[in-house]
Amino acid sequence: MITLAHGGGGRTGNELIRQEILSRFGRGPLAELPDGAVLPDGIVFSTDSFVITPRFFPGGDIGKLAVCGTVNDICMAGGIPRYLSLGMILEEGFSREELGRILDSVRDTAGQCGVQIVTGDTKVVPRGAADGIYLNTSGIGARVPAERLELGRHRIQEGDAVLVSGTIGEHGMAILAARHNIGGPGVASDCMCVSAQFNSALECAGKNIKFMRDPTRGGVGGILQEIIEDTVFGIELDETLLPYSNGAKAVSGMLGIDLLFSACEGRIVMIVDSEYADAVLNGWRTLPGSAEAARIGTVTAQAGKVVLRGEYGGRRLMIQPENDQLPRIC
Amino acid sequence: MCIAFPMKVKELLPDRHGIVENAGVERRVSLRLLEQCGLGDYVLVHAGYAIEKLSEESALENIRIMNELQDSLGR
Amino acid sequence: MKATVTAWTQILARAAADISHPVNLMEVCGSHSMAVARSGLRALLPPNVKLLSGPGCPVCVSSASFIDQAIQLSRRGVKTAVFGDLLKIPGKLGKLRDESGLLVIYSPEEALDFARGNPRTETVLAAVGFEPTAAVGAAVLDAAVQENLANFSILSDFKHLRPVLDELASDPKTALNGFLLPGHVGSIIGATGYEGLSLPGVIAGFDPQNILHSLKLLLEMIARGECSVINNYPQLVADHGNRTALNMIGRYFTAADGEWRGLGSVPGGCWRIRPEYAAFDAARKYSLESETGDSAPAGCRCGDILRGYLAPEQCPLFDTVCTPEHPVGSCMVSNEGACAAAYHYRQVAI
Repeated sequence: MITLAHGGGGRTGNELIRQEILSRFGRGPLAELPDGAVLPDGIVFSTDSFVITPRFFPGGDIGKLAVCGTVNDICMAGGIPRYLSLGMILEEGFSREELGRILDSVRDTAGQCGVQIVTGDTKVVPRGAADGIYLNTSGIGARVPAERLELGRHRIQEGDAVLVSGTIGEHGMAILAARHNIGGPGVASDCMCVSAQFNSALECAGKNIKFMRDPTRGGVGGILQEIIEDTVFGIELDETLLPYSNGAKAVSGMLGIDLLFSACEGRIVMIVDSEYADAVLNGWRTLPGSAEAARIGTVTAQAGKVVLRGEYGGRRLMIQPENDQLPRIC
Repeated sequence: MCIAFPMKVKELLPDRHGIVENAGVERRVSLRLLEQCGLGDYVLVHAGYAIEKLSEESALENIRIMNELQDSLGR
Repeated sequence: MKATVTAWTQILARAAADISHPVNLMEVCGSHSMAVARSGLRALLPPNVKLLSGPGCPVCVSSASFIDQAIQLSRRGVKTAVFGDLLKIPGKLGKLRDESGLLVIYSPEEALDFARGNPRTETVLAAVGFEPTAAVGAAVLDAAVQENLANFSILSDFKHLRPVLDELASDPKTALNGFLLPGHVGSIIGATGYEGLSLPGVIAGFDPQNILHSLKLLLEMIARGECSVINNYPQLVADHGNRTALNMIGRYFTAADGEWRGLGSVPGGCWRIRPEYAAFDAARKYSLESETGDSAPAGCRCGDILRGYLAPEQCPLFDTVCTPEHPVGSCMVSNEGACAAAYHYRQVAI
C-alpha cells in the first residue's frame, strides 16, 4: 500500500523508486535516475509534478516552483533549458482568481528563466478528487556538447570536491513555517532557477565538473546519499562548513528539524575536480542567490558512506531520516 | 526532550499573546505561562508558548564564565 | 573563540583527576542524548568516566496503549491533533502516520483554533511530554475551560520527571555518581525542583559548550564528595522556576502513580488531568480503555537501557534486528531515544 512516506525524499521513498520504477524502466537513460534524460540528437528531457500546499509560501508559489523545478533539472543533466509544457489538474471549485495568480507566476518565472511554455493540458476533476491544483511541467533543453561537459557518476574520483551553491534547507523550512504560522522576513524559500550558476560553473570548470544534482526532496544529505549509493565512493562532509542562513536555523530550532535533509529548490550540489573548486565558488559568489556558496566536503573511498566530521572531532555516519521530517516537540 | 528556542518579544497583543522574533523569523505565541512579559524581553518558546523569560544578567554572567574558561585554556 | 577538543579533553581530565573509581554519569533528557551523540562528546571524557542515557525521552516511556487510544479516536471520526514525534510509534492497532485526517501540529494552539473554527467537530489533542509540555497542556486546558470549548479535549500521557530521578539515584545496579539535569524541565521546576536528590547534579543547557562545561562542574563536585545541585543554565532556570507554569500544572493536573514504559509503575510519575475537568479529558470523555503492563517483545532490553544498566550498543538486538525502520523497543522508536540517538549518530572509524 502506498503511504505518504513513499512520495518523500527519505529511505522509504527511495525504496519505492528502486522496486517499482527501476525494476521496470531501469534500462537505458533512466538507470542512473538522472534529473533529466540525456537523449540522442542533443536533447535533454525532464519532468516534474507539483502538489504542494500551501500553494503560496514565503519566497514563492506552486507556479514558480513548477518552472524552476524542471528548468533546474535540465541544467543538472547538462542541458540549456528551452521549452516547457504545462499540465494542470484542477479540482472542481478551485478559485479562478487563484489560478490566475499561479499562472501569472508561471509566466513571470518562465520569462526570468529564459524558457517558453509551448504546450499544455488542462483537466478538471470532481470536488474532492484532487487537492486544489496539481501541476506538471516537462521540459526540453539543448544538451551542452560532450566536449564541453560530461556528467556521470562514473566520472567521480576520490579527492573530488563537494560544493553547494548556497545556504541549505530553506525551501523545506519555508513550507513548514507556512503550515505552522511561522513568518517574518527571515523565512523564505530559496526557489530560483540556477541557470546562471550552471553557466558560470561551465565557464570556470567545464569538463572538470563530474556530477551535479539539485537537492530537492531529501535535501543535501539525501542527495549525497543517493549520489554515492552503489558506488565505490563515499563522501566526508565538514559539519562546520555547511552554510545555513540564520532564518533557516531559527525555524529549524523552533521545529526540531535537521536542515541537512530539508529541501532546497534553488541550489546545486556539485562534484568537481578539487583543483577547480575555488574557481567555481568564486564565480558563484558573485551571482545573486549564491553568495554563500561553499565547499562542504570531499569524495572518499569509504564506499557508500557519507561521514560528517564534527566540530568536536569525531566522525559520525550520516543516516537519512526514514521520511520527510515533521515538527517535533521532544 | 523539549524542543525550545529563545526569541525576542517584538510586539504585545491582546489576550495574552505576543509576536516573538529571532533572525527575522516571527510567530504569534501565547504568553499565558509568564507572569509578566514586556517588549524586548527574551523568552524561551516551546510549542508556541513562551515558557520562561531569559534573564539577561544571568546570560551575560554565563558568557563571562565561559570566556574565562576559554582564556585559561588559551595559554 | 571556542576552546578546542584537546583543551576540553584536558579540562575534563583535570576535573576527574582526583577520582580513583569509575564514574557513571547520566543524562535524562532526549535533547541532551541527541546533543551528546551528535557532537561525539563522549570521546572527550576521561577513560574512567561513562555518560549514560537515561529515560529522558517522553515518547519512549509512553505506553503503546496511548497510541492505540489516539488511533481509535481518529477512526471514530474525532479530529486528532498530534506532534510529529508520535507518528511512527507503533501501537497494537498500528501507527498514527497511517491514519488519514490527522492534524500534525507544531503548537497545541493550532488544535484549539481548529476546535474553535469547527464547533461541531470533536477535536482531541494527543500529547506526551515532561514538565514544559505539561505546562503548555495546562495552558491549553485553561483556555478550553474558560471558553467552554465543549468539542475539545486532551488525551495526555504527560510524565513527572522528579520521581524517576530519585529512583535512579538509589538504584544500586546503575551505580550512578551524578546527573546532567535537563535545562528546559528546569526552566519550569526551577533549581529548587531538583533539590534533595541523593546524587550531585548540574542543570545544563543544550549547547555542546555548555554541556561540556556542565560535565566539568559535575566531575569536580564528585571529586569533592559534594552532593548538591549547580545551576549552569541560570539564564533560563530561575531558582524557583516558573511559578505561573507550576500553578497552571497544579490547577489542571495531579501527580499520580503511573507506568513509564520499560520502568514499570512510578509513584507520582504521571500528570493526570484532575477529575473536575473530566469533560476535557479525552480518556474519560470517550470512555477509552487503557491496557496496562505492556509486555516487552522477546529479547528487548529497553528497560535495562532506560535504567542505564546497558548501553544501546550492548543490546544484542541493536542494529541487527532492531533499527529505526524496524524498531523492536521504545528506545529505538522515538527520534531521541537512547538507541535511536546511538544509531543515528554513531561514530565511524576511519
